[in-house]
Amino acid sequence: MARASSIYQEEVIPSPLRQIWLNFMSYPVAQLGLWTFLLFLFIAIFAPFLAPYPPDYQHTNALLSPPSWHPDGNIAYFFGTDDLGRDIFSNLLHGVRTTFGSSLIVTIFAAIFGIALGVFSGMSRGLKSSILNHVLDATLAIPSLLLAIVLVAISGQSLINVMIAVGIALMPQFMRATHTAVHHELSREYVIAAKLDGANQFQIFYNVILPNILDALIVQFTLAISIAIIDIATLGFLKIGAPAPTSELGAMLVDGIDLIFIAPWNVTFPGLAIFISVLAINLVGYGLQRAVKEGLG
Amino acid sequence: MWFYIVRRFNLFVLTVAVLYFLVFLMINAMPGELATNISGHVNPSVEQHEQLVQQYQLDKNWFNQYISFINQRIHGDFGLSFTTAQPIFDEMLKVLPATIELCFYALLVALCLGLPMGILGAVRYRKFSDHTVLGISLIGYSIPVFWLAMLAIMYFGLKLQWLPVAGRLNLLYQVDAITGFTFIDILLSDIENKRLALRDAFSHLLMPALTLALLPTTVVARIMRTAMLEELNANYIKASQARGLSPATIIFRHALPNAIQPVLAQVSLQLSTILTSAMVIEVIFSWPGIGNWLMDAIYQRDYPVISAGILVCAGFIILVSVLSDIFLIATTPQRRSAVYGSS
Repeated sequence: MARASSIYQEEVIPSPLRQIWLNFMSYPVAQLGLWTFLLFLFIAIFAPFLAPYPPDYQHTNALLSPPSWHPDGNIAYFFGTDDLGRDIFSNLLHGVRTTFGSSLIVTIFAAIFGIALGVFSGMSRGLKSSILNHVLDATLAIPSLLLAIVLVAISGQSLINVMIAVGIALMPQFMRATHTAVHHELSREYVIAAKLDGANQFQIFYNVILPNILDALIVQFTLAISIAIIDIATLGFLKIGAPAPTSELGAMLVDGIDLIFIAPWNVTFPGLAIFISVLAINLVGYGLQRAVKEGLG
Repeated sequence: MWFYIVRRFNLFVLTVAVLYFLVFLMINAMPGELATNISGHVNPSVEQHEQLVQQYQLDKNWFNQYISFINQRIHGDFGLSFTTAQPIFDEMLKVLPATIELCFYALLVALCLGLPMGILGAVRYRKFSDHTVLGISLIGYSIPVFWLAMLAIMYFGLKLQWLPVAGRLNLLYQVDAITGFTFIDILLSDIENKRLALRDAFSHLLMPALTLALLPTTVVARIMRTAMLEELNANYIKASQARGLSPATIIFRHALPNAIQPVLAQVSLQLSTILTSAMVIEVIFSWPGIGNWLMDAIYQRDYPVISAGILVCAGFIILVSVLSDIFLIATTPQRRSAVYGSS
């Protein structure tokens, strides 16, 4: 237990969430992940102000300029330029904005709907819960890539369609995690005690169950963001993601394939950006999981 | 037990019915005429059109349409492909074995590498090798599979020239597709250089299978580690330690059989992720499987193929999850009561 640094000999016992936070911060790798995550968040919000050039501006005098640390590189184009003379650094910042930002938004929406449905199916019993679970199983079985393919086939290629497809694919995972957690808690003694005290369904959920499943939901949320980033980038890579003029990390990568021999930096940097952002989120998720486990034990 | 199997089977039928309904809705939402999209006849004559309307009961209400849609699909009639005008079912039989082959070997690699990694991590809990296992699995889980595949092509395929970068078999070897699985086909065929052909097929398989295996390996390792840790903390392990059994006996004879069962169930839950990355891998390595086929279909707006692909992939995933569920229940009776209560 963390001892408050006061002159009094009292022991201050931190609240569960605060305890998890303290555990989390005592783990350096997780902290590193958190800072990287915040950095990416900062980039996603302020990319237009950080980027030295507009992402689609073509520097016709500097086609395929190598990164600045290369002997032929130019510091004006920090990570070099692509075959159309677009600055890769600016594109990368905007790509992070598209990929990372949209996956955050998707995950938030998927979490809201998925958790609501999961709570509903977890708290209910019998037929209602059963029907919900079957619809869920059927959606869970359709890979997100196929869903995106269908949406693109129906209503054309756009970033919104990709986000909807990824969101629909993520929702059942939230729903399942919530359903399991709620179900698990429902059979605990303190829930039965609350029931005997005459609490209604909503009170039981909000006051008794929710505080106890919140940590599991947070962990699920971080994992879902990393899945969303990979999915959006994958769809971009397969050319059914965000359409052409949008800077998107997966799409940047696939554009770079043709140049992989003469200008490998076109492939390396977008890939690294995806990798680092996903790794940071997974580190945060892992740190949270560990912190939650230690908080219990 | 039988009660449970019947129950699971009921759930399977219901889930597939829901899946069919979702796909049916999708077909209705696709642009173009319904009779064309559902059957794949691009320009049907008047008689053909009449026949299609009869066949799919398009003049009745949506429920009749749905039932006859299921009826056609269950009897193996997936319609025609827009681009080749061939029956989709036949095309599917050609591409499906390639995907199954790729996924099978990738899963095999994943289990062979992931299980020992997980056991090692659990046994050496919070020691150096545990941290190494965790680090590797976190990094492996975070690498986008298409990026890794491209780096592998760039390095092993083009720079070192060790491995071929596309296809399943060199065109030098004329092997007839009997089963669709390369290795079996080569063994069945009567070509001269069987050994060379097998080696060639293996070198084609190596890079796609290994890149595809990375993600499931990390997942297996992490699940195995958690499950093993739980078992190692159980009382019966302490009891066997007190009786003086050797660590190897405790780990492999006592803890492992109990820990490995939830791992199989969890891996079957990951199947949809594995299938997605298998499709991406197929596109990158030009592997003639279902992913490549579907991507071609989407570029050409081939709606019957897309809907058939979804039905088959998702149906396969549901089937595997039900089978693994039944297997899990059959091997661990104490789980049965919990399952009765929950659903």
